[in-house]
Amino acid sequence: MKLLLKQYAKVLDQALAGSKSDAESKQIVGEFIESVTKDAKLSKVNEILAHFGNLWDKRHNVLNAEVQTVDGEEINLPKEIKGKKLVVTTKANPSLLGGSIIKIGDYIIDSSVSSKINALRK
Amino acid sequence: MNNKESIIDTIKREITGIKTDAKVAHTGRVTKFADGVVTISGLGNVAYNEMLDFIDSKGMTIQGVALNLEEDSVGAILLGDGSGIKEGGVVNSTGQTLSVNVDDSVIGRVLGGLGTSKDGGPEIKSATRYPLEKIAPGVITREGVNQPMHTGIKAIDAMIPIGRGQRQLIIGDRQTGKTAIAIDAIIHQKREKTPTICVYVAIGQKESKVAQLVERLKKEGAMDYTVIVSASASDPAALQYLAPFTGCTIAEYFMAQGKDVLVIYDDLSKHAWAYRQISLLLKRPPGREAYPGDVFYLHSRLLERAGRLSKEFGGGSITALPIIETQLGDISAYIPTNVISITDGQVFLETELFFKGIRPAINVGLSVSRVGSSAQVKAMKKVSGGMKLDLAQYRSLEAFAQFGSDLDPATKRQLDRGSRLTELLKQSQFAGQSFEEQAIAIYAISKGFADVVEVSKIREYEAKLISFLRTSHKEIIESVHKENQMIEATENSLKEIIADFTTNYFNK
Repeated sequence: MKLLLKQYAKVLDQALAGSKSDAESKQIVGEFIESVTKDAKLSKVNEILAHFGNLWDKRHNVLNAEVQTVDGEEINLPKEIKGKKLVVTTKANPSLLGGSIIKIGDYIIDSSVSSKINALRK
Repeated sequence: MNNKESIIDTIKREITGIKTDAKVAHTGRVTKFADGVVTISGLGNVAYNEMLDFIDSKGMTIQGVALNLEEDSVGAILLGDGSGIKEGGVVNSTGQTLSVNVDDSVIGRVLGGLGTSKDGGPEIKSATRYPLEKIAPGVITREGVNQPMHTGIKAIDAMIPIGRGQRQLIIGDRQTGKTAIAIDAIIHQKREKTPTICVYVAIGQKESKVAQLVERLKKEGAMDYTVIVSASASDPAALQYLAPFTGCTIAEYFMAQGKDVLVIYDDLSKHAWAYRQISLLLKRPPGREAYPGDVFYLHSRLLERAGRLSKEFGGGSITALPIIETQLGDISAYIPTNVISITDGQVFLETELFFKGIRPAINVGLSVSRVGSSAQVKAMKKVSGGMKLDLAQYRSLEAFAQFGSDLDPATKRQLDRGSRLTELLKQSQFAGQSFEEQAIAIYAISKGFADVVEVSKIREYEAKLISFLRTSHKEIIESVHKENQMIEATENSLKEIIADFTTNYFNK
């Protein structure tokens, strides 16, 4: 049977959910990669991983946030939003000139100086 | 010095006025883009028919519409040039369903498929935006068709009358004069007692054809009450799909003010093609002739929005004249049968008649108007009743016409009358007539006054009779115009005048 990429991700997620130790998890991942290779889907592994990431976040009740500041300085964000743990990655982006851009899921909170200057220009 | 300070002051004021709050945007990313159809990941909260802003590689914003909401992706169509769309590009939701700006200044303008300026004029800016998709007026708000919508074309106004609020299909092959009828109807509105706003929606037509049309309408002074909505052949299919809804929204704006509106959709075959293209690209399952399953609903919901509102609800009306182009006269194809069944009647045009010289090439036998006759003015109803019968009998006898001399006198008379009436119904383009003149001309022929005139001279006779009445007996025309009917006194004097005129016509 042909599996959808999403189904691969689901299989991996469920297998990992049942694993008890790191060693077991490593073995599961190894077997998974083998079967993906066998199905000649190795080229799609990035897409599978993207789906897997979503499932993982859901299972662990995690919300990913990306923060951009001029110098990569961290911002104090709440640890939880609506009962979901916030995992923050911070990036440096000098083109902002100041302020920050926070991306959480589909939402972008833009309070950068550059976008305000753009708004002024208009 | 003073000047400098005032400039600085102005800048300060401007800057303090700027809102510097953080902007919260709801975004997604382009995962796939082909042929104007975009697949987007993210945008979890987007609504059906919501407008989207695509940011292209040059930082420009391009509009789009969300049409397919799936479990983990959104299918959208692009409403502009997609050459700068990149995979991974940002898409912002606007929180606004598909809508257009409409106000009184749209009159005389040429607008694009989504109400944007297309004639170089300023963009339309209105306080409120009007939604493109709106549920049609309900039963309570409506009223029966009770006022005529004259087209200035004798064959239509007499035989296939259209009422205000009616949906009358104009159907025929290419090059049979479908658009010509619509244009004549627009131009004729300036001769009417009650003014009408006209909306002409051009779907998938050549820009040159639309330009010619605008030129013509300007020349005839018809642009003073007309709006053109044009999504031409070079515009994206998405705009061609939306153009009729934009036209309808503009019409509804004026209907809500209690005005009468005439909308022409030219043509819905191309509209169905555009919708088929979008649907197939969005991977919706194809049905008959590869059209999607909801192509009937597409046209029925558009045409349902036409109608007449009752007095309590403002009393406005939208008359819709959709146009359908058939292939080789095949009216049993999918789209023609659909639209025939939706509308309240059709004007059927035929290539054969066109080349026989019968123009407008209306097939009177196949054309019907299911509601218009209740709105016909009395003068017209009176003369057209007899004419319909005469023409029906003429058609059934037409096959015998070639036996000429071997026919009995009654049959021969019927054939003569029929051929004269057919000749009378010929009318060149841009030669619309007011209903009173039409009624008088038909009266003269169908009462047999012109039986002595040669068939080939009928049109000349008609023109001379009308101009004679206009110059010497204005009161007759005015009386019919005022009373909407031929009162007995008028009819009696008209009889005498026509009889005199006909005798003099030969003595000259």
